Amino acid sequence: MTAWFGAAEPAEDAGVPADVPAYEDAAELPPVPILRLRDVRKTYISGQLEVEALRGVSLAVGAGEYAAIMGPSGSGKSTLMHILGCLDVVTSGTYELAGTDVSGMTETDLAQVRNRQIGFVFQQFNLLPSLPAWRNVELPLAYAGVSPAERRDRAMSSLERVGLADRVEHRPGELSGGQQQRVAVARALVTDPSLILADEPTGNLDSRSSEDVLGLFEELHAAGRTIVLITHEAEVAARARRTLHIRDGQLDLALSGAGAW
Amino acid sequence: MSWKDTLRTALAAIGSHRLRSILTMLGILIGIAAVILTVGLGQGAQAQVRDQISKLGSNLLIVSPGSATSSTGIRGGRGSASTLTARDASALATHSVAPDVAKVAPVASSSQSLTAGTTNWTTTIAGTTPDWLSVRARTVSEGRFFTAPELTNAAQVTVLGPDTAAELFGGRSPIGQTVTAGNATLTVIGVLTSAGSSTATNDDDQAIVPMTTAATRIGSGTTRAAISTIYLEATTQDTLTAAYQEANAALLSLHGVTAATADFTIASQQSLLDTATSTDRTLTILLGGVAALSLLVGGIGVMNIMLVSVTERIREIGLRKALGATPAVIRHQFLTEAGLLGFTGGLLGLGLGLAGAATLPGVLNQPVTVSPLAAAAAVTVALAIGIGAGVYPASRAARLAPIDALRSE
Repeated sequence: MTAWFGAAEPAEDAGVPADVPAYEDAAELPPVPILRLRDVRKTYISGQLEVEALRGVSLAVGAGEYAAIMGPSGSGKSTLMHILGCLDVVTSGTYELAGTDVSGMTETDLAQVRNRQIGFVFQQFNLLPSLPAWRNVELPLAYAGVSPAERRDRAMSSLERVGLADRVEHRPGELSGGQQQRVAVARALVTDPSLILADEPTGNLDSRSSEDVLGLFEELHAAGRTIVLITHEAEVAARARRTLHIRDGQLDLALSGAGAW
Repeated sequence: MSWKDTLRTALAAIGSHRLRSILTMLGILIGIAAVILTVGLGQGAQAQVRDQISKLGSNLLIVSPGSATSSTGIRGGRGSASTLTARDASALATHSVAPDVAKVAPVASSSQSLTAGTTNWTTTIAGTTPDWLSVRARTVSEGRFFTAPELTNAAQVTVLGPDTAAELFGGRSPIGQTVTAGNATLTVIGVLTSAGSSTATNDDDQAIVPMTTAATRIGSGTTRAAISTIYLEATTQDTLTAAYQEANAALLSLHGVTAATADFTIASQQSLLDTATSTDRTLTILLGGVAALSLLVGGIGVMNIMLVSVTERIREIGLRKALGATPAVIRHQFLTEAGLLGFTGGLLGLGLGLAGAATLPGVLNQPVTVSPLAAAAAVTVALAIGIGAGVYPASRAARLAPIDALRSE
């Protein structure tokens, strides 16, 4: 499997190569940005109170990068994760994913972007308990309209990829936490997305299973996948190649260094 | 997401709460079974009445004394119980008066005690003409009917209904035997074929005699010339209206009255049918309305459970949305689930209704008719109610924001 080209394919569909922005310093910045935020702000209104969760975040993550977004609770990292995952929309600013501006998209278009471009790994695993592992893994393909036979094949090879070929018929309740998270990773991989977005993926795991999952991410990174990992644990963030620190709704440029943009 | 996937997901969701789903479907089930049975009972009763009326004869007009006015009921004749006479009947039988009337059968009936040997039986004695047999669409199973000469001569002969014959003679053949009615001794010359008894009047229990015999030998005093009913047969189905108008005009002029003061009524099979079925229809609509209400309650049950289901599965909805389910797909899934609940409830209700339709006639002594159209309509309505009940819960699920849905515990 040539993961690099695999990962880049959907981006080409969206017409990326034509409008890749020029970088001032090609040596420092990633060659092809998969995601790019420009002055993103997000304001929530709860009751009469306006809460500004993101206050002008600009960043870019290149194809094949393994980046961690780190910050204490209340820093706005969950909000940033929702924006990056197209689960929520920006109040102002722009967000380009694989070359397409998704800031003003409708709920239906966003659902399709999530389906094709993003593979989610959640802290809570979020597997459907009534379905066997392979049915959970094929779910995004069902929403993409892939034929049942192809869905099954791709779900099987994705489960094999995460080392669960012998657990395909097990239901989530029959699997350990680490195994469940690996099923979730298989599900994130199955659509061959541009971006794997992991939200506290080790938050519910013991240290051995955490190591297991982080090892898997490293393998995926080595195979050319773009991974963005959100965490509040420094040692988890340290596994990524680049760490972006967020504090009070803004990127901490001093800590984040190059590429924060 | 293909419809197969949607259907499989809906089935899995329904199957995961089996008891709840069954209780929900029960509401639809009972409603559909009730509708099928009430409509079936109504249709059965109507079919029965229609059957009885069509048995009266073909192209039939029935002239009765008295006039049914629209608001005040029956107006009686001028001072007498019956306003129809043998003269009316013979006038109607005249071709120049009523060319579209093919046959005329006046009937003068009275209740009499018949005696055969030591056996007594009180029945209706009907005096009429030989045309009666064909006008009333009856046949003779044994012996023969009386003839025109026997009518002219007031022959002392009678044709018995099968029930009457059985009562008077038991298993013996009554042909050639004699019965006494009042002062007259009548020879039995024939037995009618059974017409099948109706609850209102028993057409199989009567003695038919020539009208002249009834008038001169059996009837008493005032009722001798009175005719209780005149049956007319139009030449064809198409001339029924013409025959009606001719008979009406002839009788109005014979009686010297106008349409407003008419002392007789002419009814056709169709008008009898309309009167008889309209009462049945009212009852059917009333009962059907009650059944439909129970169906509505069933629909509310489906909506309630779907709302509970959406609330319970907020996280699942959020996950499905994160994985790429569009609002339309989510809406579709919940509508399918609600529709499936309604449809399955409808199918089970149809089964219960059919079982009821098979057993009820034995218990109620009433026919229950379930037409394929009614069955198909019932299941379709159940499906529609399910989907209708799912619209609001499904759109709630579709509108959920993915992050709120994912965050909820």
